[in-house]
This record gives sequence, C-alpha cells and structure tokens, in this order.
Amino acid sequence: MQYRTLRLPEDLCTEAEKELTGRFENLEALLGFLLQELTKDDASKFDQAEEQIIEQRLKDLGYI
Amino acid sequence: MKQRSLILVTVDCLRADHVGFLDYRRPVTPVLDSLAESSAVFGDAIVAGVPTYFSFPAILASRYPLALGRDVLGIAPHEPTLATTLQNAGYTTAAFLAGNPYLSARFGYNQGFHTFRDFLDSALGEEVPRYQTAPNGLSNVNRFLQSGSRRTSLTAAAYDELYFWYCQARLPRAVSMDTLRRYPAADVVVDQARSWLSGIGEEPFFLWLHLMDPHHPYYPPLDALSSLGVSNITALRARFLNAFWNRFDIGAGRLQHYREQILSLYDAGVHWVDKQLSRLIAALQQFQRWDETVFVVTADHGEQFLEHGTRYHDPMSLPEQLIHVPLLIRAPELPRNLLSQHPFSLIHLAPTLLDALQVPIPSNFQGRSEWEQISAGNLSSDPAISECVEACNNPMSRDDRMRPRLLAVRDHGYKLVINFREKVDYLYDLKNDPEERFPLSSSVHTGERARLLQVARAHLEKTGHNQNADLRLRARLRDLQQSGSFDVRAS
Repeated sequence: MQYRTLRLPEDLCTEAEKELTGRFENLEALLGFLLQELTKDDASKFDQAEEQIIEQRLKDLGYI
Repeated sequence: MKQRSLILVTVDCLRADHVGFLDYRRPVTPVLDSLAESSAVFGDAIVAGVPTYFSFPAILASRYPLALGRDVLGIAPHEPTLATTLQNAGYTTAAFLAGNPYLSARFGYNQGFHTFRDFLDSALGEEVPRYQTAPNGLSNVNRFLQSGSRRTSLTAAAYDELYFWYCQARLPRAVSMDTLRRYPAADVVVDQARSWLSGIGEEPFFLWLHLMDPHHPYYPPLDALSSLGVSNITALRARFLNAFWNRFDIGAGRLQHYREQILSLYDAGVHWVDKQLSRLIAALQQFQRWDETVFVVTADHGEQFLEHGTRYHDPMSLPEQLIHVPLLIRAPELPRNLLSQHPFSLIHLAPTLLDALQVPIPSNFQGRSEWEQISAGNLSSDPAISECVEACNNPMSRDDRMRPRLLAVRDHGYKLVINFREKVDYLYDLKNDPEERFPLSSSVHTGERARLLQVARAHLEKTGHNQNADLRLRARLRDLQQSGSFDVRAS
C-alpha cells in the first residue's frame, strides 16, 4: 500500500488529539476512519440500478 | 402594506378524505371547512414521501427525500429551508412540534428557528406494553407454553389468542385518555403557540405547528369523541381497541370487526385538532395578526385502515390513503378556489409560500413556486412524485435505509407505482378505479405507462446524479457523530 503525507495546522492536530483521546489510536486512525466512512457511497449503487430498471422497462415497451 | 406572516400547521397522518372540505361525510372539521370557504383548497395534494421522515425534507426544504442519498435522513446541516430563509429575511420563527422524534434537532429540524420546542422531553403518556409482562414465575410458565405452542400453527394461534386476552385482563382498570396518550394533544401545543404569539409584538413571524392527534395509538380527548356523538368508547375500551388493532398474529378479517370504532377514535383526533385551530385563529385575531397572516394546513402523509389489508402508514406501498393529503392555503387577497384539475406536489409548497411572502426562493429548492398559478386558479399540469425506501420501518437502522425504492408518479387520471425490488410497475386508472384495486395490464394504455415512466426516469436523473455533494457530506458527518461511531475505538 502506498501512503501520502498530509500537512495540517499543528494547533488543529493538538486540539483533535486532546478531544479524541481514548477513542482512536491516533490522528491518522481517526482521519482514515472518517475518510473511509465519508467516501462510502452504497446509496448511489441503488440509484443507478433503479435507473437501469426504468430504462429496461421503457425499452421493453418500445419507447427507447 | 404590512409584511405578511406565515403559519404552517402540519397534521400527522391526516388523510385527504377525512376532512369535510374534501367531502368527508362526518362533520369532523367544521373550523377548517369554514376556513376553506375563503381559501385555496387543493383537491389533489400529494406528499413527496411516506412516512414522516421521507415527507418532511420536501415540505420544509423543497427537496425529495432520497436526493442526498437514501443513507441520509432529515435536513442536512446548513441546508436552506423555509425556516432558515425566513429567519435570514428578518422573520421571528418558532416551531412547536408534538413529540415526533423524527422532527427533532437530531435530524436538523431546529435549523432556522429562534424558538424550537419538540416536546420530546415531556413525560407524557404511560407506555402500555402490547403484552404485559407477567411476574417471574408466570413468565417461565409462559415461555414454556409459548415454545411448546409453536409446534403447530393451530396451537401457536391458540396460544397467541389466549395470551392476548390474558394480558388484557391483567392491565390496570383505572385509566384515562390523558394518561394513555403518547403525544401532547393539540391543545397543549396550541397553548404554547398562543403564549409565544402574545410576546412577539409587531414583527413578521413564521410559526410551524406539528400536531400528532390522529397518530396511533389513537387516544383522543373524550370531549372530542362526545362532540362527534360517540358515547360508547371509554378510555378502557380505547385501550382494548388499540391493543387489538395492533395485533399482527391475526388476519384482516378479524381486525375489520373493530374498524369503525378505530375510525371513530382517529376522527376524534382530527376533530380535536380542528377545535384547537379555532383557538389559534382566535389568538391571531385578538393580537390583530390574522389579516396579514398566510395560514396553511396540510399533512405529512395519510393513514390506512385495511383498505388494502394493512394498517397505519408503514412504507410498504404508496396507495392514495398514504400519499393524498389535505392542503388549504388562506392568504390575504387570495381568492377562494378549489384547485383539483391537477395534482399539487408538496415539493412546491415551500417555494410557493416564500413567493406568497415575497421572499426570494433559495436556488437549491427542487420545487418551484406555483403562487401565480394558484392565484389564477389554474395549477401546472406536471405529475407529482412520491417516494420512499420500501419497508424502511426503522430509519435509524442503516440496513433498513439501504433497500430498494418505491416510487409513485401521480397524474390526475393515472398513477404509476414502481416497485424496484420486484422490478415491476403497476398502472392505475384513477378515474375508473379510484381505490386502486385493478392494475392495468401491460398491454393496454402503454402510452400512459411510458409517459409516467419517462417522468420517473427524469426524476431519478435529477435527484440521483445531481446530488448536492456538500450537503450530503455535512449530513453524513452529523450522522457519524450522532451514531456514536466516534466513541468506538477504531483499530
């Protein structure tokens, strides 16, 4: 796995570490968790599948 | 001209066909019927989603319920709404909501309100368990009998029946409607609204009331029942009726036996709302605010009473009993009108009301103002769309939210319901089959079916691909924070 270095304000990191003590191993674990959760988008898979169902139905009826 | 104020009254579970101004046979809404004489009345108002959690994003934020992704609930942080827009325009704003947990600050509904009271902290109503727990010794006997009874369907049914009656017999006999009720009644909410109105002076205001009286369990004040001429339902009887109506171990045939009495309880709840609204209007008149106020009454969804075999308002289907609601707008200089030639989607309500108040409409609203058309007595002819996640009965559960959609495209004459799980669509001819009993065969009316399918396709394109990424991100962050995810050590 490849890694990337990010630059964040020192004050913000210290504040976050203070706030999250005991909840996450460290700031990287928190940020990794957050980004993973926020980029998860199962909902759009449903949307796309539903659009295809309508398109197929219109094709079956001869309207596409 | 004095700046107009706005009162929005939303009534949980109020069906269109249970108000007098839309031809209900029982005189449950004399106050609203009288108000309708000088209002725009919508014969075909359609909610954008069912139930409450799929309906209110459209009512307050003019946004379809699944447009931020079906994993997101409520109003997103910083999402423009009717309330935030009016607050920014200098209005004093207040909401008094009768204890519906899905309309709480947790889901962003407090945004834009200077005063927000959701009554969720009130110790109202004693929760009566469906099956009263027996003392320890009997519980063990019960457990033994129950597991033994499951060997055949006949013994299981016999056990369920006996256990229901056993539980009923064990419940305390001294009860009142007030102690059984699970939500503050309309008089409590209206009292707070009147008190708030008395203290705001001359400034323009926006007041939102959400009333829960017609919501199950149905425990209306006895005054409301007697005012409808119903004298044979006591609090004890109402408790029995609610418990029986809530049984899921018996068929619709047996439930049907109690339907009329359940309807009386429901109607009495509607009647109590109607009665309390007259007190609200009287307060506005007393404070000399009535003439300049736009007064709106509608509902978030309807209620089912076995018309299609089911009860309540679970998102298992989208029949007219759930999506067709009353809507009445009384505004200064707005002529009396019955607007029934086309459906009116509640997605258009917020922009229409802002237009009525001459306040600019946020650009991200998905509905549009119909104020000019309403004033002219001629609504636009677009079909209305109503949607939900099928069987999402517990929206707090992500698994419940991540399921296929149900979508209805409702025209004046036709209605198409698409069940995406079954990959089937049902077309109804509402003029000849208003009760939606006979879906049309695929081989007939194909032009109508294709037209409504095209509307559904355009809706999915508009609300799926063009999701507001910023709002979605904010809402997801809030959900993560509130779900307690941050309290779990990630490893």
